[in-house]
Amino acid sequence: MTHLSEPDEPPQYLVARVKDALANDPRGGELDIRVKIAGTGVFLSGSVSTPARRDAIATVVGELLPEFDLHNSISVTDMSEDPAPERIE
Amino acid sequence: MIRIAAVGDTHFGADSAGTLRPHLDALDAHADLFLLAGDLTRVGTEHEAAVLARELAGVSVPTVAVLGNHDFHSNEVGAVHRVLADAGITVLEGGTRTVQADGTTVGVAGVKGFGGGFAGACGSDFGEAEMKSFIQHTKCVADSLRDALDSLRTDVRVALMHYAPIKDTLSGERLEIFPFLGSYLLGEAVDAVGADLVVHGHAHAGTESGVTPGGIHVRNVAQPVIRHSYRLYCLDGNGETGPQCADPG
Repeated sequence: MTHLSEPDEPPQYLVARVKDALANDPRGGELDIRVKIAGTGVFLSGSVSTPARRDAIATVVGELLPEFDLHNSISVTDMSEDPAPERIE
Repeated sequence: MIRIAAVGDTHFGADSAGTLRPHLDALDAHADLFLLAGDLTRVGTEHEAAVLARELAGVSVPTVAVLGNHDFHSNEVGAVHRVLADAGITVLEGGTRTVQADGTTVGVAGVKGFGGGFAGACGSDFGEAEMKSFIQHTKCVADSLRDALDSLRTDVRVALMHYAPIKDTLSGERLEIFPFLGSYLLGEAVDAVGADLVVHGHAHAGTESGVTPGGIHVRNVAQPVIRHSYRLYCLDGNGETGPQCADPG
């Protein structure tokens, strides 16, 4: 995979290209991951449904931005607790 | 009392097998109807739909779905639709499904929906062909929803869609992306003919509860919002007593 960043490229453009890659990379298909680039780090947050999805996203971003420190705060939705019902009135 | 279980944005992929099934064991006992609010797959492949269909095998309550934008991504929407239908799931796009439970009839009108934004800050059917096409699609879908909902003669009427019909349930999302998350035209269509509940997904960072300008309950059941395998809503139908709105836990 081609690295995305060019020297001194504004982080806004990098964020847009990372999000585009997360949508279109075959390992991604994710539109709702929040991506922030600050200092030397790329920070990921949001939630996905499986641990494998979380790891795949980190792999994609790590390949795109190898020179950045990757901070993966993406959570995996925990469905272990049964939901409480709501009465609609 | 009619009991409706609902979830959206399950985003099923090859790695999702076994993630939902264990939580559906109680569904038959606690719900009369199961609604799936779109984005059922990760990128809309036939294989992903098959993984979900296998997961839902054994659910005996009627299951009604709409598709979402992810389900269109791989241009296999026909196959996705077929796989789900073969598994006994009713997939709606401008159609209806009526279910009877405990003396109450429930009608579901379903569409995918589309974007465009909300009154005062929305796209217009004006200018370039691409822009006209965008908004005309939303208008077409909203008309289809209104007609389907209006055709129902049931005790309880539910509007099922993927995109959001109101802004309330987008609270938490970035304001800039609201036009890609839904359209007021969907809410307007529901308010024009009435419903007892609107269920949608799509807005992962949104809020579960809202209400249309006409006073109809709206619930965003995107799985990242509800953080459960499904949510359970109980509605009075024709006033007869029936099974209680029991906590599945």
